[in-house]
Amino acid sequence: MMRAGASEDDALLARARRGDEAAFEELVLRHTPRLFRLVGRMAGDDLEAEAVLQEAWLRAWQAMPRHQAGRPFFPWLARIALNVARDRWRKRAPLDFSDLGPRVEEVPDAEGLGPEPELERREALDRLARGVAELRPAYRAVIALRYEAEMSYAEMAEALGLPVNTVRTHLRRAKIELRRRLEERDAGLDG
Amino acid sequence: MQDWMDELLADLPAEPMPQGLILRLQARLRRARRRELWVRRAGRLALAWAAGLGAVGLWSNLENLAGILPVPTLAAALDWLLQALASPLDVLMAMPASLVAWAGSQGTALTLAFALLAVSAFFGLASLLEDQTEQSEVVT
Repeated sequence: MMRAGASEDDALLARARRGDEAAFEELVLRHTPRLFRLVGRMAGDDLEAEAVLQEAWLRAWQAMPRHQAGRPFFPWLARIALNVARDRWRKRAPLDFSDLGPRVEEVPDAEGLGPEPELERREALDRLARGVAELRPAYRAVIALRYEAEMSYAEMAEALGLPVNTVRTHLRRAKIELRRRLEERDAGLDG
Repeated sequence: MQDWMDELLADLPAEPMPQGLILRLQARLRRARRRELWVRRAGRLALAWAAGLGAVGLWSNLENLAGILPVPTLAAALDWLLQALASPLDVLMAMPASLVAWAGSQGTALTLAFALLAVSAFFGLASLLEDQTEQSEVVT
């Protein structure tokens, strides 16, 4: 998927800082679809996702002078959106990346995940989407960053403010938790 | 290493982006920019008014200014400087009290005039420094 190049984002940001409103609106146009996929997966609700996006873009505009030229724009924007989500959902669904399970060394390797169950693909996708929606917010966030926003581990690390290895571990834990929930549901359906 | 879950997660069904979302986002940003512009203008107008009132207050008390503004002698100034070098913290702590005592010895109108001028100068300078800091961040 072709995305706005980093140099194009830098040029738009430079113009926006000088007061070019159209330049910042161009950034909104370029990055909102990807940001919506990320926030939408975390929020699970269009209205809430839009509210988060509104606030995120507002904060991004206010924080624009502090964005370092040359650094990737989308991870910075994603970080703002995650902070907005955390602030909004503080009471109902805390978004906390500091406590996502056992220590790093104790997490089993993802290669232990078995082959795809024999299900129609569509049904599998629906089940998986429901499973993701039921995950704790922090797990939903790492899955959304990786698979909805299609961010690299380095970009995810920048958005989350965590080391790359920690991000890999969080994602592995998220998938393991997801697999566990799906198996529990299967066991429940089988009676 | 990719597995079946990676493939499915990359293909999860998602809600389409609401129609008009980008336009609404852009519109809200425009409103926020306008609001900030008006707040800045109102702030600067208030500062200008405060400075103007302060100046008017001073002007109307001009004939009383002589003898009010403390003009230290060279000896007193040197003495103060030596004290400041010896005990800077003590001198700094004593300054607000001296200022309050001096202000108390003046008329209310004159004190208010000085206060208005001082406040408007302070906030005007802060605003100027903030603008210069933003510009330097843009350059870097």
